[in-house]
Amino acid sequence: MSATPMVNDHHTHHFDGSKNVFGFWIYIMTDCILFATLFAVYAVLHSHTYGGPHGKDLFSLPFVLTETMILLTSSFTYGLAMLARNTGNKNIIIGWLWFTFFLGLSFISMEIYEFHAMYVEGNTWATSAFLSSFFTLVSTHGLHVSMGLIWMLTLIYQINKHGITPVTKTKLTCLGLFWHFLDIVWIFVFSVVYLMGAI
Amino acid sequence: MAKHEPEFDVDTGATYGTHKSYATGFILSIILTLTSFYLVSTGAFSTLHLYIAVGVLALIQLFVQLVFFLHLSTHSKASWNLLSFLFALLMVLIFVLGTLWIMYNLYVNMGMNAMSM
Amino acid sequence: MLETFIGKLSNPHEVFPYLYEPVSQQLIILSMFTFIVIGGIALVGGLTYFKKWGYLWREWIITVDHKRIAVMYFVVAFIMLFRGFVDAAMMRTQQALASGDSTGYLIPQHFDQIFTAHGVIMIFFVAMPLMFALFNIAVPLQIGARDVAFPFLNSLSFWLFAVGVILANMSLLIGDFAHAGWLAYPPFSELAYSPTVGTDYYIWAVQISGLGSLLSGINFFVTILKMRCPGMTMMKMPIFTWTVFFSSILIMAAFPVLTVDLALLALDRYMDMHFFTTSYGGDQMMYVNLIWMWGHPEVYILVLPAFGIYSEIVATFSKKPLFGYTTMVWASGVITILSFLVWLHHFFTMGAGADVNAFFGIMTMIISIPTGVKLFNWIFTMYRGRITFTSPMYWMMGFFATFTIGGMTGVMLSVPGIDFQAHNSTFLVAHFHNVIIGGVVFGYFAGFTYWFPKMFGFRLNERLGKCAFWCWIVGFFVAFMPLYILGGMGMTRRLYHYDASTGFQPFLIVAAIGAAIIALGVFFQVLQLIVSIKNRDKEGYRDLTGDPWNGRTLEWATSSPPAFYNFAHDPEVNCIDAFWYDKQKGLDVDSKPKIRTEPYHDIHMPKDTAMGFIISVFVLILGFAMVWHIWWLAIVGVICTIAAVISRACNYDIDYYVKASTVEAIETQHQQEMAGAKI
Repeated sequence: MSATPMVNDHHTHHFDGSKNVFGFWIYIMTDCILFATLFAVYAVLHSHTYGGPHGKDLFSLPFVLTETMILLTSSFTYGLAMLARNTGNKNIIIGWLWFTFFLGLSFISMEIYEFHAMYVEGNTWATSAFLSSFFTLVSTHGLHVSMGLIWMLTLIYQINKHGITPVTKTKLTCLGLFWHFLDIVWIFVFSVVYLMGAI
Repeated sequence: MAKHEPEFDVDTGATYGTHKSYATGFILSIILTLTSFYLVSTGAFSTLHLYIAVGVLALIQLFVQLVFFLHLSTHSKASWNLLSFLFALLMVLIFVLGTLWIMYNLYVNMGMNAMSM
Repeated sequence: MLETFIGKLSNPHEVFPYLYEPVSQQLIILSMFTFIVIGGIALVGGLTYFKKWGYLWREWIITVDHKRIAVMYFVVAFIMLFRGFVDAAMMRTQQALASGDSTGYLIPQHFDQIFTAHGVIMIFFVAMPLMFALFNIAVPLQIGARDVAFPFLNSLSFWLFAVGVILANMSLLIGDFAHAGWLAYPPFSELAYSPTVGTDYYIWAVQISGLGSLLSGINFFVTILKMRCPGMTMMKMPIFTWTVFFSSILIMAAFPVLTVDLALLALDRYMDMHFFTTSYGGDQMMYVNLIWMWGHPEVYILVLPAFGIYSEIVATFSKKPLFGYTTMVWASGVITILSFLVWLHHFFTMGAGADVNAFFGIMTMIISIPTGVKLFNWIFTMYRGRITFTSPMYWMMGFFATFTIGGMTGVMLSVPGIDFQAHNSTFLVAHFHNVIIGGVVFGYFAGFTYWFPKMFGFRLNERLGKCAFWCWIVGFFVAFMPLYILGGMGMTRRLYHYDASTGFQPFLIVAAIGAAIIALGVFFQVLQLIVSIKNRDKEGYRDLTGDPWNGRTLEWATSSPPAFYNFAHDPEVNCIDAFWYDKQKGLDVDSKPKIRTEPYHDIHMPKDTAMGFIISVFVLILGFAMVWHIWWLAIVGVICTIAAVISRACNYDIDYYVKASTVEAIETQHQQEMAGAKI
């Protein structure tokens, strides 16, 4: 809300993205609570195995460590994309975004591979309350990452079309918050679900 | 973590790091992740201490990523970002700890063995 | 084969359950069908006959204007209030009749659906939209903003809410509704015990409208933090805006929990998971724990804005500044935090230990303290004020008495020992109706009457408003005081039939009479609307000044209804109630000579967009397909929703400028009207 600038033909000149970035940050806080609830459910139900397998019997830590490293790296490369925002060269941003995208895609592929392997061994979400909460928590994160990937594609398209403008910069920043946030959530999934599950 | 004045982007109102800050965050995160992994896979401590160690390392990494990737700062211009984060953190603590307390108290009182459920 | 294409729609038992029910029930269903069909034909016919489809689309469906969205919320909320009230009346009649040999006029599965629908509709589709309507109409104006922070999101929130309403009410026509109570406790709501689509309707209706509420919460939080006019620091905000701020915080912290809980229940039902099932390690108390982690803050989400409304009204009609503004703010803040620390008092009886029960019992008692602070502040505001007894003031005084009683019984229930006796009894039913009707509903009615002129440019008939008030408050006490007694006598809630020897019947007949008196109140409210609309141009109704109540806050500085851009110039304030003090000094913001000579500027505004509506249509398709297990259609729904969101994100042509000359024309006309009114 500002009625000060009177430039009619420069709509982007008017654009103030701080409201959007802040609003998105607030959305992330709500998402944070969503994940916290899922973690609470997992924490209570992780011992409810109903005679089925425990986490210890199912998880392959080196595999998950690889996933973690990939996601961490993608967070870093996203940061590099954001740092390139003031170079004026949109191709650098787009390049790093593609890099991040493929890292994210490999993360998701690994997760799907892990789930599939568990499924064919007969350890499905219907086996026990523990596995229900495991699959739900981890795949909720995976779903978020997948949405982030779709968003990344549309952002690449938008930056390609419009160049580096205040609007695209704002969107880049919001997706950045989202991406780093998902990285943090994953750190907790890795620590609480996989590492603590393997102790 | 030298606390120099963060720069706020004129279009987005957000702060961004430098190559150095991202690299620092990245390397610290990797070190922390590998440490947890190493401790658990070698079984360095007793069970309880491992739980605590993994938990503490995860919290440190949360802090590292908040500072170096999300650039959460105590600068007054971003005070509502910090405040909303702290509030969310409080809610997370209440929900998670409250749920654990309530449910485990229930299991103990009702003589339920969680493992057999 | 057929099932692949149309899912459960291929099963007539699921689609038309009433075909297999006794004739007496079919007659009830038939009369409801007739009502809906006649209403539908009248609506569609009327819109076509008067050629209003284009108007409806251009002016309402695609609007992003917060004032119009407020009106749409009101319309839907009042229609749903009617439905929820019919449900209540049916329950009261059933219970008044079903004693001894008589089993009343409903069959158990209908009675169960009715009490479930009553709770769901009254909370999610009446109280919530009334609240968002009041947020929308008042907040941007009170803080001197042109709109909310994210106008498109606001429109999307409304339409997602509308999808929830449509899904919940679709169950009247095809399929059935949930019968597991308004919070759908498992294991009863699990597939094993509720195999029909009813619970799925419940899950998707609440889930989708809940998403809308969450987005609204974020929207108003950012609006209040980032869109205030120059000079309005946090501690100079009107108190209603403050309560909306806290209510938004509660929404943002609580609704994700509801989303998760319902999603887990849905996963149990759809994916054969075992979160809350009776076997495979599931634990139904986990569901109850989560639902109340949302459910208790929800009570405060609803009541805090009502407190804000009372604060505005008491200051305006006592012609005094609100007593204890700062304590009011802090009391709201304390309530916000404490409301997250009391949720276990809803299930004291589950079997937790004395330590857990004692902690939550004590926290519950503590939360009544800040509420008490507020009551005293209102009373001290009235003390020595020059009070005008308008109908909003009536609602407020009714609230004092009713809410205090409700609060007292609440403190009683917070003692675990008493709760063990009163749990699940009609004492509890009486208690929460006592606080929700006395606190929330009265407050929203007061707010509706108070801001009605702002929305439409004319006042509601005062006399009929007072008649409605008297019927509501008398009806309320006649309907609910017997329930306290019945609870003491051991009557459980949701009782379909009881033995004659219990002696419940006389009390239940009195309660039914109370419901009839409330119905009279609703009748007066409808009459009030009709009479006021008919006389809207007459003296005493038309509000030309934009300030019909001699108000204190910025929304009264605009015309009624305000121009779509709200303020021609950004208002500037330097204290609480700045508008009031300006008037005292003869410096009415709009007629201020200094400002009038100031040139008008082009105003930057968001463009109307149909995308909120379109996205919601796809979400409706998704919800419907999920309820009826039509998997291919659900996939289509998901893909279309994502595609629509992306197309919106890629659209950069979302705003425009209002020409200064247009602004000048609108403002000049308003000033002429004002000048005419003052003569």
